[in-house]
Amino acid sequence: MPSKSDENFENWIASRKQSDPADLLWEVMNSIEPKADPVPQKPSFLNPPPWLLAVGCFLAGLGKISLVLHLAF
Amino acid sequence: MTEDEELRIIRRVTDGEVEAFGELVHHYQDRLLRMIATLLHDDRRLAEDLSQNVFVEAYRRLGSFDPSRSRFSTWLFMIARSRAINALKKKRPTLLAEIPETPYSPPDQSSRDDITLLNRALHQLPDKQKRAFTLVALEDLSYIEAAQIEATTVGTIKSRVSRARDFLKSHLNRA
Repeated sequence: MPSKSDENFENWIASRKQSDPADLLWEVMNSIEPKADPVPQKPSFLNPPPWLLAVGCFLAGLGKISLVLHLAF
Repeated sequence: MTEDEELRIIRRVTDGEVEAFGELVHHYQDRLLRMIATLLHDDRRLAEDLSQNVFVEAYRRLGSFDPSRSRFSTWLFMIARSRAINALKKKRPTLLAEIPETPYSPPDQSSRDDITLLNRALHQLPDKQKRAFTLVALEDLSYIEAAQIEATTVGTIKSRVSRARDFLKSHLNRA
């Protein structure tokens, strides 16, 4: 059976999880000035680097050539 | 908000829809402010300023966020951690003078005394233990997320949380 101390400890943790709601939205959005802050570059997972694209095209080209040769012979 | 919804919002922001970032602010502001306030000895005013700066920094660095490495919340909290550590270096630590106002009303004086003792003890923890305890026990992050934020191992986080709990509970037993 939990002691009074254990109970108070858990109640304290629960109390710290409750807090007055934040109200930052207006300040944050006003601090972001679209003209002063350039739109963040698209994350790398949306925009692969040029060298990766080049390698991909090269491999795709090799693949097509090998397929043609395979079909021809 | 699911991870997919977050990624869709991030994509909208990077496509030029700046206002979409507000949805992320709205979703995370309570948690972020609460976490930062705890790390800054419950200085809510300083925590609000810092939280605002964290969101602005997150917006400016959104292009560097890689979802294959972490969740957005983990990445956001990493920025917050770094800012809080810097702020603490500048701020002279002060002992908590008052019980933070919360909706919870302790039922008796003994419980209220324990709340005061624990709030003070929390801010006496070594910084690394306090951050680990805050992330896991107070903000309900997983050990894995906390380890990513603290750039350490899960085992180390578990150890820090355990030692923090023991230290805090020892203050109750002294009363």
